[in-house]
Amino acid sequence: MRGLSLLIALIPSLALAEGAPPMTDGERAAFGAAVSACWMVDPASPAAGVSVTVAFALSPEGRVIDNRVEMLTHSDAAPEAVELAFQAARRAVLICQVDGYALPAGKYEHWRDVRMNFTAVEALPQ
Amino acid sequence: MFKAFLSLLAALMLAFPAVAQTPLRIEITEGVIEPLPFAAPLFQAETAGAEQLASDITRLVSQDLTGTGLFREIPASAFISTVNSFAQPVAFADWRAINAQALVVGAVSVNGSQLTVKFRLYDVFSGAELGEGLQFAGTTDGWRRMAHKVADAVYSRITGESGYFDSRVVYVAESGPKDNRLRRLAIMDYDGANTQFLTDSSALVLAPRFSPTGDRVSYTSYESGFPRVNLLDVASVGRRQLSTAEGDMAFSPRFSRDGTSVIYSLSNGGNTDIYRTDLASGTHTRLTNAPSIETSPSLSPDGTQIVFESDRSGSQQLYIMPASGGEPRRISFGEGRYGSPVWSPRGDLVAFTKQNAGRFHIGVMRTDGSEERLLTASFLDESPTWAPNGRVLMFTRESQGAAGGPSLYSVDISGRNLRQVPLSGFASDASWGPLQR
Repeated sequence: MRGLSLLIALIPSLALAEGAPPMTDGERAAFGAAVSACWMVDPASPAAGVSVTVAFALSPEGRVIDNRVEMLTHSDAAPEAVELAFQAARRAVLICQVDGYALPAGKYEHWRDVRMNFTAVEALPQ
Repeated sequence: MFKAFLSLLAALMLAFPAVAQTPLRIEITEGVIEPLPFAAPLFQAETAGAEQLASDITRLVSQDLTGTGLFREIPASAFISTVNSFAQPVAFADWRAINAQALVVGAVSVNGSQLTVKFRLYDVFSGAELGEGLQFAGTTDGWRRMAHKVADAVYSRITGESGYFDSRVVYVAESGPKDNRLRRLAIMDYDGANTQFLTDSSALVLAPRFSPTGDRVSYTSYESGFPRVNLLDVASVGRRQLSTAEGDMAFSPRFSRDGTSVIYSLSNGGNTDIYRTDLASGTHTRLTNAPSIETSPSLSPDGTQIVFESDRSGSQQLYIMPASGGEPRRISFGEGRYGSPVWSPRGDLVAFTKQNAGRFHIGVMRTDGSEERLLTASFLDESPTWAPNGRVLMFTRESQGAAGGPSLYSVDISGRNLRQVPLSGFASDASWGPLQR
């Protein structure tokens, strides 16, 4: 029993994941809204119809570690359009972090690694 | 004991990896439609006497970019950093602090009448140069073109689309009272600067259209008292009448995409059809043969199809047929009348004029007629023409009243950024030429 306590103490992330409740829908929506505010969409751009998923890791302060944002997947499109869509997503994540995203500190293990998908629902106004 | 502890540790890590490593997944479906903020510090004057040109070029580069509606210039008063030399390392943190997403740094040098402009573009938030630095050389009197070239390069690197700033527009300049309007062909930079007249106002001129390389213009002239197709060489301003197929009136000409032939409407005995005349051989080909009025032909970018307007259904609608002629298919089905179609340089859209319920609109639709979108609405909007990158349309807007007259406007294909082209007089029927070489 003492051994197990020691083990949990040595693996704080596991302890947090086990102990912290999951992110609520509201917390997830607030995070998404914070990034949305910096996602600049050009509805007439070839990139507007491209869906991209990016990955990044956050520090406990809510900042993107090493400002590193990577593209994981994208929808089928011309490489130039994909690159533009990725750059717009990357800029959104980096610009809006300012002094760190306001995320619940006690749930760090739940938001340390992020996969964020950007899809413009409406590429052009009808 | 230690071995047992390590075994337990390994077993637990294997048992709970998903808990510790499952990333947070977020879906973003709404962004903001806002211009991208950029900073363009005053370009460095690298030689004595280059200060004024450096200032003018910086201003025009910024003006080109902000004029698209896609960029917003951050005023110099907000700058934290100063740029004192072209080679100076960029203090990215200072530019990030004022939310500049792009930074344009440039330098200008003058040697006699020779002008050199160079620039670098930086992606502020990644702290890296966006593309390599570029340098343009020319003469001091061509400073506007060099500024446009810098702006085109910046626009292209950021948006991924080619630019359109270093381009010209041919149009009909109008003057005089409404009931006795004098019209002559004129050419200007895309932004209304450097206007030059290509013809005098002794004969009515209509529908000028650039050749694909921008060195010639086809237009309708009433020099002979009847509408005929004329061809004009832009550099020499020399012109000649095109020998068309035999008919009472020839009008609405447009060069083929390879510039070797002209398609136009020919009216004969009250019937109007579309013809093609090969410029080298002078041979004529009739492309439509219908009792209705077929006019305003415009070729697809690959030259294989023609979009045109026809009243064969009883009202003015848009049709597409093979470039060699053949059975047309109707593509416009909305309410109202459709006319003056122009195929986009990208090939994906057709721009048109629509008249419905007493209003005129400039709109675009897919080449199969789907996704019709009206971009403008007014008392009279007509005659759209595409920017060389297919992103912007210029068109004629007529104002009401005795003192009213036509002006040129531009609008983004998103329907945003409606702007009047600054010209001193009335202007109509524009044709946007290609990027200059």
